[in-house]
Amino acid sequence: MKEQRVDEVEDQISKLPEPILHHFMGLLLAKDAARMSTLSKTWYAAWSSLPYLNFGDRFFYREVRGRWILSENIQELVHIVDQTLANRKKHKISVQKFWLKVPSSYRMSSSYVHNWIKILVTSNIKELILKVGESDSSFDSLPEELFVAEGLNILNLRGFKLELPLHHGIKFSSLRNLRLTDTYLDEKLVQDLCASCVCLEKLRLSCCRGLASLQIAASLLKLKTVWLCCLPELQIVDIAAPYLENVYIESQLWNLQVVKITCSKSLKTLYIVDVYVTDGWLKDLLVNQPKLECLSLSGCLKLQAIKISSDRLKYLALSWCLELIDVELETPNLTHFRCECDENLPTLKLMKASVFLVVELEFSLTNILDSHWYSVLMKFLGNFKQSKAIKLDCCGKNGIVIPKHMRENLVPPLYGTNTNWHIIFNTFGDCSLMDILDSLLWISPQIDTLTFVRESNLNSTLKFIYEDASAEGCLNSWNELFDYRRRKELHLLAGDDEEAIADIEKLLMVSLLFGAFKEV
Amino acid sequence: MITLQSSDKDVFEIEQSILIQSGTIKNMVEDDFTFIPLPSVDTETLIKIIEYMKKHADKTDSKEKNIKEFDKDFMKKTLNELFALVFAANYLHISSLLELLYPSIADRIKDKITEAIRQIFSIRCDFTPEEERRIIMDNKWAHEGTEIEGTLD
Repeated sequence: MKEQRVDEVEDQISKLPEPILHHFMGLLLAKDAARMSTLSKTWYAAWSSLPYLNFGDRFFYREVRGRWILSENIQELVHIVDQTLANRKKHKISVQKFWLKVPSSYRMSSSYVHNWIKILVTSNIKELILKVGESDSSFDSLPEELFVAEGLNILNLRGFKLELPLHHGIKFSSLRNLRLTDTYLDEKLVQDLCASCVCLEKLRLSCCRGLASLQIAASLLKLKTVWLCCLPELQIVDIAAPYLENVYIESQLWNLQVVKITCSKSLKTLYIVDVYVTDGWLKDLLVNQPKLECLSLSGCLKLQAIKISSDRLKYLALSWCLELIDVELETPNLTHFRCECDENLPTLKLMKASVFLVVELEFSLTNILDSHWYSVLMKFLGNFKQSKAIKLDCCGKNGIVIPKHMRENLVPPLYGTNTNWHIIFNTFGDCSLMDILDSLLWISPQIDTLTFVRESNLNSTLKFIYEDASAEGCLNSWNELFDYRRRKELHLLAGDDEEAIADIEKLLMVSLLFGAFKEV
Repeated sequence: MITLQSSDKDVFEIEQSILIQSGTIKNMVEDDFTFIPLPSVDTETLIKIIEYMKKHADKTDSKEKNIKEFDKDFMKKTLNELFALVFAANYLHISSLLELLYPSIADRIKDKITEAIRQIFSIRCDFTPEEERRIIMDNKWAHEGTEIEGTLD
C-alpha cells in the first residue's frame, strides 16, 4: 500500500462511479463542468450525461470594469443552452436540475425561456431556478406548461408573473420547496397552490406584489417553514398550516396589520419584524405555542409589557421595540438574550435563565446621558449575575462609561461574579478605551475575561487572575477593592490590537503576559 | 457492540448506536450481523470514517458548533484521502459525509484551467489530438475566459 503512494499519484477521481462524478460536476458552473469534458473519455461521458445544469447568474452577463452588463452575443449564448439541452435529449438524459439567470423579456425574447421550460418539464425536471436579471417593476411571463411539472421538488423564481393556467390546474404534487422573489401573484393563485402542493415543506415569498391578503391553508400538512419578507401590498396574513415550525415575517413599512398564526402548538422559531403586534397578541401566541425555542421581535412598536414563562425558550431578541417598558422572563433554558434599543431601556426582570446565558446588548444613544440612565443601566446589568458572557456594542457613545461622581450613588451590579465581557468598540466614538475599561472594572470588579474588538476587526482578549479567589472582604472602601494592583496577573489570551494593549498596560500598570492560558 | 474489519484485516469494535449512521451497516445490523467485513475500505480510511461517525453521533444542540468546526477541519485532507473517503462513504451509504465531501472536492476544481485540473487529479488524457481538438471546439464557450493560473493542491 505504502509503495503505491510514494511511486505514483494515481488518478483516483476518474474511478469514482458516474453518479458521484455527477455530484461534483453539478456543484460547479456548467462552464467549469463542460471544460472537464476534455480531460479524458470518462469525463467526456460524465459531462455529456450530466443531468445537473447550473449555468448560473452570470451566463448572459460579463464584467466590464467592475460592473456586470449584458453580453452582446445573446444569440450565441441562447444557442449554447439550446445545444446543451438538445444533446441530452438526444441521448435520453433527463435534466434534473437547471439554474439560469436570463435577461428580461425586453432584451431577450421570452420565447427562448418558454421553450427551455417546456423542454425541462417534459424531461421531468426536479429542481428549477430561473431568475430575471434586471430588477424593475415589470414581470415576465411564464408558459402554462410549467404548472404541469409534476416531478418538481424545488422551484425558485425571480422576476416573473405567475398566472393561473387556463387549460389545466396546477400540478405541483411533488413540490417541497417554493421560493418566489419579485414575483407577481394573486390570491386565487395562492389558493390553488395551497390546494395542489400537498408536499410543500418550505415557502418563501420576498418582495412579491399582487397580494393584499395571504392565506396559508390548513391543507398544507407538511409545511414546516414560512418566510414572508417585504410584500409591499400585504395587509393580512393568516397562517393555518397545522404543523408549522418556523415563521419569519417581515413587513414593509409596517403595512401588515393582521397576523394570525393558528398552527397547533408546533411553532419553534418565530421572527417578527416591523409589525404592530400587541401585548395581548403576544400573550396569546405564547400560550398557544409552548414549544417556542427562538423568538425575535423587532420594530414591534406597540409592545409595552412582555412576560415570558417558558422551559423551552433558548433564544430571545428584542430590537427596537421602542415603547417597551417591562420585560419579565422566567426562562431557565435561555442561553441567548439580545437587546437592541435607545435610551429608553426597558426594565428587565430575569427571574430564571441558564448559566450559559450569553447577553448581547446594542445601545444607540443620541441624547446626553444623566444619572437616571446609569441607574437604570445598573439595574439592567444586575440581572446578569449568573450569566456566562456579556457582549456590548458601544456604538461610539459613552453609555457604559459612568462618570466618577455618579458612581458614589450606585452599586456595582456585577460585584462578586466572574463575568466575561466582550466589547465592540467603535473608534470613532467620543470616549476612549481607557475610559471604558475603567468603568467596566468598576461595574464588574471580578471580571474574568475581557475581549475588545475594534471596528477594524482588531481583537484582543485578556484574562484576569486574582490574588484571592473569593474577593469578598470588607466593603468599607471601594477604592481598596478596585485597586488594580491587587490583581495578581493579567494574561493576554489572544491579541493583535497593539494600541489597545499599550493603553491597557498603562491603565492597569501591569505588564501583560502573553498566551499563558489556553483560550477559554 | 459491532465489529468492523478493514481490507487490511484490522478489526474495530464500535457501538451500534454510532454505526447506524451508515445505511449499509444499519441494514446488516438489522439482519443480526455483529461482525462486518469491509473489503473495500482500508484501515486508514476506516479510522477516519469511525472518527466522523463518532463525532456526529451526538447531535445535541450544544455540540452543533463543535461539529461544524470538526467538519471544517475534517475536510483539510489531501485529495487522495478525500477520494478514499468518497469511495468509502458511498459504499457505506453515509449521506451526510458525502454531502460534506462533494463541495470540498468541487471547490478544488472550480475556476481552474483544464491543465491544472489534469495535474491536480493526475488524470491521463486518452484522446487523440484530433479528438481533443474537436471536443474543445464543441465546448468553446466553456474554455473562454479561463485565464486564471492553475495552482497545484
